[in-house]
Amino acid sequence: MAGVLEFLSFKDGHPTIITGLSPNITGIGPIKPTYEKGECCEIVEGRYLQNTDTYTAVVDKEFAASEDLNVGSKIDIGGKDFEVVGIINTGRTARIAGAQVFIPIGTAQQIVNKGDIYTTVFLKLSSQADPGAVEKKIKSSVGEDVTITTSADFLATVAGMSTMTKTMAAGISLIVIVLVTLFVIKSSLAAVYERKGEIGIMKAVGWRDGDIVKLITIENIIQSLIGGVIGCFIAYIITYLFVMNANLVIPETITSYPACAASTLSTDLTVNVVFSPYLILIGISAAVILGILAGYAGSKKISSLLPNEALREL
Amino acid sequence: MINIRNITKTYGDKGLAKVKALEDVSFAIENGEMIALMGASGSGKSTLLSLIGGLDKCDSGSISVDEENISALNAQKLADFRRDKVGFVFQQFHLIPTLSVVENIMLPLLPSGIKKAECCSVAKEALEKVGLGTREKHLPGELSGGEQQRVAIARALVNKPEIILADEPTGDLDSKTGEKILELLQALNQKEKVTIIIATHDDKIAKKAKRKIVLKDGKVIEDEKL
Repeated sequence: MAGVLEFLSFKDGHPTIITGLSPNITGIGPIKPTYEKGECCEIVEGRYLQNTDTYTAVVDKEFAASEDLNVGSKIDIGGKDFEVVGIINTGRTARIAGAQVFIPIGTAQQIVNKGDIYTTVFLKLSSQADPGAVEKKIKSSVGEDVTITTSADFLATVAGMSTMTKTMAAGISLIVIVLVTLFVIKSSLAAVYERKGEIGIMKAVGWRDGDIVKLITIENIIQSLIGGVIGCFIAYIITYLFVMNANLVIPETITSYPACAASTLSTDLTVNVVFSPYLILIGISAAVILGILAGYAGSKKISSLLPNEALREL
Repeated sequence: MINIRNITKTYGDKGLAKVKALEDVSFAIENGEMIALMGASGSGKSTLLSLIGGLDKCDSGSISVDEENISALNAQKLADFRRDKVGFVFQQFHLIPTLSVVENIMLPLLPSGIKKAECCSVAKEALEKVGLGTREKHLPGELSGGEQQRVAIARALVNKPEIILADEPTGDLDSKTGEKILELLQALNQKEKVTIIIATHDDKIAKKAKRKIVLKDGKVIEDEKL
């Protein structure tokens, strides 16, 4: 567990965001200081806060540049002078307890003068813990007004976006289905009309209109069945290739989780291509139904021609 | 017996000039006759064959075959009539190019509900009759014109029809092959007593028939026994 105290310090009417934190707790909290180059929360100059520090500050790199602060500079917080001991690069994404100036928690509590208070507490649950139960327990001891943000909230945000995407995809699919239906009926009619002469021969040798409708409909069922199976196979392959090659890293900006938090949030979205017999059945059935409709519409029209009219096409 | 009474057929509608293909045509044909239907191109021979065979409908008058007025039949019964009583032989053979020879011959049998194996054996029998027993698996495009016309004749006979209607059956063939086709039709007429009506403008073919009917501008101008 790590607690932080966030507050604003005003000087000449300009606010500065201050976060007081425990220097000795680095496994959990809003930032994870490091001396590694390019890493999030890199100490670019000086050092990080120490347990024994009082009235010292680590300043965000951007803020230091705008205020012309360096290691050894003094900064006024709540009417007290703080010595800048380090410059840190915290990144710019939205986050909890992100600040322009980081100071030791004890000193922060002294300045705010409200006792041992915290505005945000970071908890790391053990793998066996039930987040729901912990959430309930916090609310019962701290009060219902407390805001609890969990990694599940991130998933909920992603799920919400996914629902929106799903609704849009359903709309697009509907338009595609209508267009494909019209196209299939049109091409089926064209295919049947191409066989006008052949149908004329069948009628001349005694095929009834119903026999011709039956034949063309059966042909269409077989064709659409084969088409449906091939279509499902191709769709599976394309989906598989897409998922394998798609960049499915969710941007951190859609969550308030600290960008340089000690514990990282997994933003890699794993999507598995599920082989769903139910979905395949629906796909093939839709193709067959479409085939039957298209075949019936085309054959019904052409079978009503007199044999002589059809034979003239030969 | 075929009874043709006062039939008239006009082509052309929707603003096109109307052409009278047949005008008040009447005559009767006895079972087992072999008739040459003669006349120049456009005289109405093919139209008359189409009407007798139920491929088209006349505007007025009636055609009866064995006392059944085929002019009054609905589409289904007319299809049954064509399947059971008539065999057609066309000048351009009208075989389906994607089907094999035997499949083309089986075509009239398939809607009758006969099992496919039986259809196949009947079709092979018909193919033997026209002397092409060895060509059953070939596609029409792999045969000569004369052979294709023989296949068309086998298809016409496969349902054991009472009437064979042949529209210029030798028109696309050389004289020697045409002669053989005619001999085949003559043999069918003599041995199996099939009524044969051949539309032609060739006098040599007409001489093989027992009766000659001549059409001019859609009217019968001559009807004589030979």
